[in-house]
Amino acid sequence: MDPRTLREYADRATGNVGRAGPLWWLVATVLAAFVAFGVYAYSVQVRQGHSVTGVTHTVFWGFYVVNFVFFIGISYGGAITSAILRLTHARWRAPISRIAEGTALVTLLIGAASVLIDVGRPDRIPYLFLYAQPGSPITWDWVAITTYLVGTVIFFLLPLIPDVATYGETAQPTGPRGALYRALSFGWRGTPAQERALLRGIGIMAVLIIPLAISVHSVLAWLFAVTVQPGWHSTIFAPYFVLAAMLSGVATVILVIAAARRAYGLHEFITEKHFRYLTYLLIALDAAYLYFMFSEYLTDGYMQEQPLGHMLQLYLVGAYAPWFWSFAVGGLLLPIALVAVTGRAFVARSVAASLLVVVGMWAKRFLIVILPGVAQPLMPWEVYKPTWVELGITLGLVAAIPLGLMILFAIFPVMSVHEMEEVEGLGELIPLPARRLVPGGSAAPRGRGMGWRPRVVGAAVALAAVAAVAVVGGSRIPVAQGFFAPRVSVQVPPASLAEGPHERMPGTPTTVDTGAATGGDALPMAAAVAVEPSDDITRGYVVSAHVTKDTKPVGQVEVSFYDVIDLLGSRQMLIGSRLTDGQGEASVTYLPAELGHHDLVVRAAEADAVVAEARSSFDARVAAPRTYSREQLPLERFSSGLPLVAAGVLVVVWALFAFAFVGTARRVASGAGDASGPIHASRGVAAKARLEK
Amino acid sequence: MARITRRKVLGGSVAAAGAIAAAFLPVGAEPRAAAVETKTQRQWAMVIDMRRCDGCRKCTKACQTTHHLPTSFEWIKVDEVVTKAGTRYFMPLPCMQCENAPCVRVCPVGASFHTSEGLVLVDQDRCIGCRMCMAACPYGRRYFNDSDPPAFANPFGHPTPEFPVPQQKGTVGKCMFCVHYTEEGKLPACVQVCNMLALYVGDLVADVATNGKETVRLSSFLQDNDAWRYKEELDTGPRVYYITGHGQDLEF
Repeated sequence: MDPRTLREYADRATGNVGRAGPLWWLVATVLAAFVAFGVYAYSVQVRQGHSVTGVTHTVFWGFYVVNFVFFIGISYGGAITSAILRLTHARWRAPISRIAEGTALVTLLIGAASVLIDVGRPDRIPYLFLYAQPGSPITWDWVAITTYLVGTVIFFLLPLIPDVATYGETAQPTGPRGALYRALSFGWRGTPAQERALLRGIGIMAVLIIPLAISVHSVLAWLFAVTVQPGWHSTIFAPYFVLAAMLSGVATVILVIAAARRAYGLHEFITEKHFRYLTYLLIALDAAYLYFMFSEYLTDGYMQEQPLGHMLQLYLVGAYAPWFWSFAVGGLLLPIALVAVTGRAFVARSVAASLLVVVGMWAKRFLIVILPGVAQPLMPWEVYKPTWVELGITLGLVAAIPLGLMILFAIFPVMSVHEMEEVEGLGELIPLPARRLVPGGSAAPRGRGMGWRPRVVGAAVALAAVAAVAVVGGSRIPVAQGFFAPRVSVQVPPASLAEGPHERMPGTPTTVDTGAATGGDALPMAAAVAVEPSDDITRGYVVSAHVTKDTKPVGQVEVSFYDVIDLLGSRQMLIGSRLTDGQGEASVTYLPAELGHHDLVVRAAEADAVVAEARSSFDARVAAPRTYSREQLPLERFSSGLPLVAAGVLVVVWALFAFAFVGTARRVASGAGDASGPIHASRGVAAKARLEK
Repeated sequence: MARITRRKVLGGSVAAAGAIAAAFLPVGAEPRAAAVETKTQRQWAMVIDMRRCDGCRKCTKACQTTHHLPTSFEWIKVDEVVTKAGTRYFMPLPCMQCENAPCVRVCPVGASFHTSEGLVLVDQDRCIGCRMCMAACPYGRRYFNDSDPPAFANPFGHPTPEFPVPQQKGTVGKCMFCVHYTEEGKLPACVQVCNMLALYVGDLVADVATNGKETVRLSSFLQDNDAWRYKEELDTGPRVYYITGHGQDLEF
C-alpha cells in the first residue's frame, strides 16, 4: 500500500468522525424512533406486569430470553473474528477488526439489556450482587457476562489508543470529544516502548477473549442444560450454543461490514476478498452446526421415548414445523447453496446468506427456549403467542444495534489506521518476528531481566495456587466445611427420641384402667384396657381390651385401638382392630413412633354402632426406629462446588484484565519519553494533516 | 509521579481478584434456612389417595380463596389422567416440597429456601422474578405473578413467606402447605375442604398423617397401599406421596 493510498485509507476511516451529515441524522432518527417505541412498550410492561406478554405459567420464558441468547451469541462472533485473525496474523484483517470489535461491544450491551427486560422485578437487580448464590446458573451468567463485557471493552479500547492519539493531535477537536481522545490516548507518541506495551496488551486480550467468549456462551447453555426439562437437559448444549453463537456472530459481522462499506464508502479497502474469507468461515460453521443438529435429533428421536418423541413431532411435522423447516432449509441449507454456486455478485450472495443465517438462528433459539414449556407431558399443549409489547421491544433492541454502531463510529475511526500501518510494515515499525525472538525488544536495552511472558505465566500460576489454597483451606473454615461434608439442614430430633428400640427396657408401664368412664351409662357395654410390655420388648406393648355386658364377657365385637396424637389438633390414630374372643378379650401389639406418654382410646362396635369405649395411658420406654431420614444426594455439594473451580479461573482472568489494561495504559503513559528508537508517527494521518494545511 | 511498577500492578490485581474470589466462597446455598425458627419437630409431608379423588377441585378453589389468588393460579392443580386401559383418574398436584429442591438450588438470590420443617418457601421481598425456578421445577408447580394480584388488605401487615398474601407482582409464588395454618394448629386449606378425604397432611418424624377425619400411621399407610412419589427417579426427594387408584369404593 503506497503512502497515497494509506492517506486515503486514513481519510475514509476518520471520514465520519465528528461529522454527522443530514443522512446520518435521518437514519439515526428513524432508528431512535424504533428504540423509543421499544422503551414505551417496556414501560407498559413495567406498569402492568408480564401479563401484557405472551408468557404463561407453563411457557415461562419467551422472546426476551430468545433475544438474550441471540444477541450475546452475535457478540461472540465479532470478538472471536477479531481475536482469531489477530492471533493468526492475518494481514487482511486490518480494515475489519475495528468493525468486528465494535459489533461485539454493542450487541453485548443489547444482549445484557434484553435479559434485564425479562426480569419481573427490575428494581431488585442489585439483589443479584447483594444476595448472590454461587450455585445458581443465573449467578454464573452475570459473572461471566460482566467479565466478558469488561474484556470486550478493553479489547476495543487498546487497539484504539494510537488512532485516537493521532487523530486527536491532527484534528484537534475541542470539548468533551477532545478530552475523551486525550484520556484514551494515554500520552501515545509511538515510541518503541509504547509500541511494545500495546502489542503485549492486545496480545493478552486476544488470547483471553477466545476462552472468555466460549465460557460465556457455555454458561448461557448451562442455564438451560442444568435443568431437567426435556430438550434442554443435554450434554451437547454448551458446544452447541458456542457453535450457534459463532455462526450467527460471523454472519452479523458480514452484514455489518457490508453496511459499513456502503455507508462510509470503504469499497477500496474492504474488498470481495474480505467477504470471501469470512463467508468461507461462515459456511464451515454452518456445516458444523448441521452436524451437531443431526447428532442431536438422531439421539433424541431414535427410540422416541417421551417426551422427546413428542417434541420432535412438534418440530418436524407439528405446530412448530414452519419455524423449524424455515430455519433448517432457509437458515442453514440455502446459505450454503447461495455461496456454493459460482458466478457473479459474490458480495450480494454472501450478504443474503448471512441475513438468512441470522434470521434462521433467531428462529432456532426461539424453538429451543419455548419448546419445553409447550411440550410438558400431562398438560394440554400450550401455545405461545407473543404480543405487541414483545415485538415492539424486540424491534427496539434490533434497531439499537445499528444506532449504537453509528454513534460509536461517529466518535471513533471505523477502520484501524495504526493496525493497517502495522500489517503494511509502514511507519518504520519493528518487524513482528524480531520482537518475538527478542523479548526485550530489538531497539531498547531493557532494565528488567525477566520477559513479560514468564511473568504473566508465573502470576497466573501463583493466582491459581492461591485460589486452590483458598478452596482447599476453606475446609478448615467452618463456613466452608459444609461444602465438603454432606449438609443436613433438617433438625435432629432430641436424643431421647432419636433412637429406636435402643435398650431392652421393660420398665413398668403405668396402666390406668378407666373402665367405661366415658359415657359408660349411655353405652350398652363396658370395656377395660390394659397395657403390658410384650414378651419381646422390641415389638412394643400389648394393648388388650376386655368387653363385658352386665359383667359377662362378649365375643365377636370389633374393638378398635387408637393412640391419641397431637397433629394439628388432637387426633386418634388407629392402631388396629380386632374381634373379641370367647372371653371378651381382644389385643393388639403396638410399637409407638414416639417415646413418652401415650393416651389410648379403645372403642368396641357392633354393626358400626359404638357399644363401649375406654381410655388408658402408658409411658412408652421403647419406640419404633425412625422411618424418616433426609434424602441425600450422592454428591451433595456438587452443583455449587464445581462452579467454585471456575471461580478460581475467574480470579486469574480478572488479574490478567488488570494487567492487560492498567499495565498497558501505564506503560504507554510512561513510555512516551523513550528515545531509544525512532518515533513511529502515523504516516497516513500525518500526510492527511499536511494535506489539510 | 511515583513510578508504577509491574509488581504493584500485579499486587493490586491479586488483591482485587482475591476480593472477587472471596465473594464466591460458599456461604451456604440456603442462607435463609437458619433464620426460620420452628416451634416443633415437624417434617411435613402429604399423602394423596387417588382412590378417593373425584376431581371436584374444591381444594384448588379453597387454596385460591385462602391465598387470594386469581383462578389461573392453581397452586394445587387437579389433573385428569386417562390411562391406556380406559380408566381415568384425578391427580391433585401441590408443590412437592422436594428435599433436594431444584428450585432452591437455582435461585440466584436465595429467595426460595427450605424451612427447618422441610417446606420450600418463597421470600417475595427477595424474588427478582427471573423465573429460573420455574425452568428448574420438574413438576411445573410454580406460578409467576404476571400482574397485580387481587386487592386484599393483609390484616397481619406486610406479606411474609409464611403468609404471602397478597402476592407481589413480578415474583413467583407456589403452594406452601398452608404453613400459616399449620403453625396455628390448623389443617391446610385443601385438606380442610376435601369431602372425599383424599388429602392427608402428615409428619414424617412423628410418623403420622391425617385427612381431618382419619389418622393413620404414616409409614405403614404408605407401605400397605404401595405409595409412590411423582418423578421419584429424579431424586428430588418429594414430600408428597401418591396412592394409585381411580375412584374405587373403599367403604369409608
